[in-house]
Formats: sequence, C-alpha cells, structure tokens
Amino acid sequence: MNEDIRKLEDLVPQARAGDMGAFEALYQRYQAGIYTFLRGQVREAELAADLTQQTFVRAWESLPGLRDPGAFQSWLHRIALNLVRDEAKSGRARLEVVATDLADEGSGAPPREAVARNPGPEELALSSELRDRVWQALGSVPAEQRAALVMHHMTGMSVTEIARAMKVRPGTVMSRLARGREALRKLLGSYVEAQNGSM
Amino acid sequence: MRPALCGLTALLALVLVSPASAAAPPRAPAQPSAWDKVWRSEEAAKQVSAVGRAQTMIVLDGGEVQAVAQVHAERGKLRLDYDALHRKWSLIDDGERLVHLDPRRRRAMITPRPGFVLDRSLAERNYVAFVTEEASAVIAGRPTEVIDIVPRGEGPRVWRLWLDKETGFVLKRERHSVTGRRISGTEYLEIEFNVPTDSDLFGVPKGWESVGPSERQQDLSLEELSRRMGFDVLSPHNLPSGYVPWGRYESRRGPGHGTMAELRYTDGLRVLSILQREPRAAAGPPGEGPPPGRLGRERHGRGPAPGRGPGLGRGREPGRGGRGFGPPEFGAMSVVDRGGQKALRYFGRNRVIFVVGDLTVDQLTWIAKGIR
Amino acid sequence: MAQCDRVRTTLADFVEGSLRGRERARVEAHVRDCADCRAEVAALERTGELLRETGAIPAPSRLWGSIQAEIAGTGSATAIRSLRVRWRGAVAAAALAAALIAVWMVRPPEAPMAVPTVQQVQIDAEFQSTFEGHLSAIWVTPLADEAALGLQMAALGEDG
Repeated sequence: MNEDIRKLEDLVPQARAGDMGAFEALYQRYQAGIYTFLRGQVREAELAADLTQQTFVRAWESLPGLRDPGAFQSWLHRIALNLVRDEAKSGRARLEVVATDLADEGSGAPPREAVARNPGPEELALSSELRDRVWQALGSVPAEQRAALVMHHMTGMSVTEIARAMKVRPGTVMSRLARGREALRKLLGSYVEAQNGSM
Repeated sequence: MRPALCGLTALLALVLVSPASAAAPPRAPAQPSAWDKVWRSEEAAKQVSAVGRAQTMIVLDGGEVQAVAQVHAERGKLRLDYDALHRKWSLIDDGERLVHLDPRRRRAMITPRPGFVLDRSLAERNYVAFVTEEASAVIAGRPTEVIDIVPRGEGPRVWRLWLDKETGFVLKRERHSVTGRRISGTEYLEIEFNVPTDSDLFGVPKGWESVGPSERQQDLSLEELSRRMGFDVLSPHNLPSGYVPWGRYESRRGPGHGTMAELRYTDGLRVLSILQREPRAAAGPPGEGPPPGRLGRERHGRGPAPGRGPGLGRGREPGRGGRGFGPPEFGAMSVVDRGGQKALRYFGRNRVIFVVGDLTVDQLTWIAKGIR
Repeated sequence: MAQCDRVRTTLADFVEGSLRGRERARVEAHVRDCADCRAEVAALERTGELLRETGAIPAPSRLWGSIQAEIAGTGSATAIRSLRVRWRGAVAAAALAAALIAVWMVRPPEAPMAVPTVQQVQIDAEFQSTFEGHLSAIWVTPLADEAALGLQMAALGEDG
C-alpha cells in the first residue's frame, strides 16, 4: 500500500509537469474504476466512454490545482461525478442519464432508467448471467448508493476516499453502503443465499 | 412555468394600462426589477406608434457593415427601409410573416414568422439583468436608462440596452458574442412617438410578385420528423448548459434543394439550431457524399443519385491534396463565422450535421460530435 | 423472534462495520445464536463479494488514444492546419480582388479571431440556408435586434 502511494506521489507531480508518460500510467491505473463508475451512472456505454475521456482530459487540465497526490483517485471521481451532473442538467428532452443529483441526500427513489444491462466482453470471473443480474440489480438501487457501492466494492476505494469524492461525511458513505447492500441483497435473492442453508 | 408567466403578464398589463398621470396602480411594485423593465420594454415595442431613423451595425468576417434604416413601428408591426450594400431594400414584420421587398425586381419574398413564444422565465433563469451607470444615457435626444444582461454563470455581457425613460422603447442596443466581441448594434438617430403609420406600408405593394412558402413550419415529434426525412433523426447528447428544446422542424433549403431535419434549442435569449441530413445531397459541392452503396440504406426516391449533384461551384471544402474534390472524410469539419453566429458543418457517420449558434467553435464541435 | 426483527434492520450496518460499542456487541451476540440472522449476514457479505467478483470494467482500448489526441491537440487536426495555412493565403488574395467585400468594409478589420482547429470556409448555399433559418428563429427571441438581423439577412443574400 505504501509502495503504491509513493509511486502516486511521483506520478502526479510528473504528470502535472507535463510528463505524458506519467499521465498514461495514471490513466492505466484508474481508467477501469472511472469507466465502471460511469457505466453505473449513465445508460449508454458510448456515453460512459465519452465521459471517461472527458474526465481524464479535464484531469490533465486541472492537475495544477490538485494539491494532495494521495487524493488523486477521489479527485478523479469527483470530476467524473461533476460531468455526470452536467449531463443531467444539460436540459435535453430525453434524459439519458440515470443519476439524480448525487450531492443530495438520497431520496430513496430508484432511478427511472435501468443501468446498462450488458457490461461488455471483459474477463469473466463470473458467468455472464450472474454479472448481468448484478448490474440489473445495481440499476434498481438509488444513484448515490450505486455510486458508493461501485466505488467501494468494484474499485476498492475506502470510505474516506469515497467521502472525499462525493463531498459528504464518511458516516453518510457508510449509510449509503449499508442501505445499498441491503437493497442489493433483496434484489439478488437466491443468488446470494447459501444453497443448503448451512454455512 | 405557466403560472409565473400569467402573473407577470397580468402585472405588466396593469402597469401599462394605467395612465402615467394617475395615481400609481396599487399592485405595481415600488421598485421594478431590471428584468421587469426589460419585459415592460418588450411590451412597449408592441404598443408604440413611432417613426424614426436608426443606424445599425453588424460584424462579418473581419469587418463591420453599417446601414441606416428608416423605421416604422405600428402596434407590433415593423417596417425597415434600408439603404446599404449599394442597394435599397425593405423588411416588414406584420406579425404573421417576414416580408423582404426587392424594389429592383419588384418582388416580395415571404417567410412565415415563427409563431412560438418564448417563456420569459427561461431568460431570467439563465441571465441576470441590472441597471448600469457605465454608459452615457442620452440617445436621439432622449434620456434613457441603461440595462446590462449578463449570463448567470460565467461569461461576458450579452446585451446592453438603452431604454427610453418615457416609453421604455429600446433606443439603442448592443450585442456581444459569447466570447465578448461586439457583434451588432442599433441606435436611433431620431425618433418620434405617436406618429401613426398607414397599414399599407406593412403589406406587399400592388403589382409586385410574391414568392415564398405560405404555411408556418410545423413543430413535429422526433418520430414524425424521422418518418418524413426517411432516416432516424438523432438528438444531441451534448448541449451547453441552460439550453432547452424549442421545436423540431423540416427545414426547407430553398427551391431545388432538399430538406433538413432541424432541432432548435434556446436558453431564453440565444438560439441553437442543429440540422442534419443524409450525405446524399440533392445539390451541393461536386463530389460530396460517399459513393453509392456505402451506406447500405434504402433510398426513398429523394433527389438525384449520390455523389454528383449539379454542384454550385462555390464554397468547396479543400479536400485531400487541396484539390477540392473527392468526398469529405468522415469527421471533416468546416465553420463559417457571420460575426457572432457561427455555423459548423460536420460530416458524421451516415449524416451531415450543421450546428449554428452564438457559441465557440469548440462548443459547436462538442455538440456536433455528440449527435448519435 | 421479536429480537430478530429489531436486529435485522441493523445487520447491513453491522456487516458494513458502522456499529460501535455496545450495539455492536449486542448484535454480535445475537448473530452467534441465531441461525436465520447468521444466514442473513452471510447473504449480505456475499452481496459485497459478488460485486467485487463482478469487478470493474476496463474502458475501451481506443480511449487512451483519443484522450492523448485531445490533450495534445494532435492527430487529424495537424493535417488540417497545414491545409488551412495554404488556403488562407489563397482566400486573402481572392478577398482583395472581390469588389463586393472590399466595397462594404467600413472599418479596418478587427484582430483575426483565434485560429480554430476546423477549417474556415466561404459560405455556400447550404450554409446560407442554415443561417437564414437560424436568423428567422432569432427574430422572435426576446430583445432581438431586428434592424441588425435584417442587415445580416441581406448580407447573407450577397454572399450566397
């Protein structure tokens, strides 16, 4: 863990100084997290890819403003979150974006559109049916909970890091994680229950 | 939205109807806001009878063009008689149509006046209005109050208006583009109020030829528009903040040309037009469009075979090798700047896209690329 | 069991690690003895595991290229830029020769606008008609400067 942070402490200043190679290393490390996060917030894969691109371009441009290299991942997610919010506010007649305003305390209402049903041909640890099921369930969970769940379980971010990204208190993050987990558990039903009733 | 507009209109009606010399109407606000003054002025323009001369200026590619116009305004109708660009012509807005009079050919070209009204609260949502002391305030010999209108977010001033203190009529206005360049302005050199104008002046002169469509453009659903166009009309995924949909139309490109699907958006004061068509144009620069068969799409018997339109010999995009021939590459973009309003043409997948508005080239590009 | 109902609602927080002190101890004790609640804890934990196993989705492989291109402003834009430099020279000569443009310049041109990464072209019939429609739409927006719009419409007619 310390090793990673140290490298981050090198990469970020290097990228900030204009080192494209350093920025590419940062990209490779965080692209999946950002892309997955965005897939959980907007309906179309192409839009998620577009927003991923915008996130990193904006990150490159705003790097001088990042004071703490250790906060890079949170900061990156913050950028992605803002882009999602801008999309939602763009006033288009047909709202493609799933998310409601993520800064609000969750209304608890599930989003109107479902999240992408087919995440794509990635390396599969699980059967595609199961992954499909997981994403479908995620889609029925409120946006803020979904965001927290994806960041925590799929991207491996800590509660503190998620709190920084979403600009809420850690307690709120834990609440979203817990409520999200509960909701997901109900939706997944037998998929998460032991077959024989014995542990 | 609706209730607010009704309330505002009721308030304005109350303010306008009461005579200036009588006691102030009980419900009029003691201090009207700058926006109130602006809307009051818009209403005033529809009520006045006035005759005057105005100097107007627009900025085009790298230069300014000026003209002096004789103005007749009569209860919402407007007539402008221009003497500029080495010719004379007139423009009439009679509330239903825009009529362009060409005295040389004794011809009137008529366009239906778009019929929709904008919700004023949209402008107030996206812009801030305030009275300014910065500019000198006597125009055409009359004292005025000066109001600036600025985007609510970041951005330079868009409008500066000099409102006649007595009537609220705009005696001078200046428009700046999204980048802060002054792009147009009109100032009355002289004006007289309560001078009625004969209604004949707002019609087509006897014996003149009339040209032009007689029906208004119909606002269509996306499905209906797609059906009429023969292809799926796509909506933009990227729009600048504050813009909302303001209609979908079949946009006729003039006699001998086809139609384009037009999606219109507005932020309350500014307009964004997005037009699209299939790459096979009925008429256009030679070589435009991919060779037949590339799209794999059913033809609907529209226009001549692709790739070889009659061609206009004008405005070709320099293609590969700079020879100006050959189909434009996917992703090719060109822009025309008319001083403030810019138009971008983008060759996207299976369609040609135009984005027109008072926006930066980057914004136009971003919008065009997001149409899928 | 009545206690189960009460504990049930806190199980997710328990699994998440939000419970502290005595409340945590209480739930722990209950779960130790209650098979149903234990199964529920397992299901909640499995939910998290499932998310982890589903894992992150890598972004499309082409994306880095696009990002790099956008940051560096390179790629197809450079080819266009060199073309435009040549084109601008040709147009400048043509513009001087064109009486139409020279005649109605009233003031010297402003400083040229910032060079865009798209080509600037002269107006053709298609551009003209898109502008025409656009200007009519502007005509009916609030604060529209009709006199200026009328002049722009006429200037369009000149060029097209």
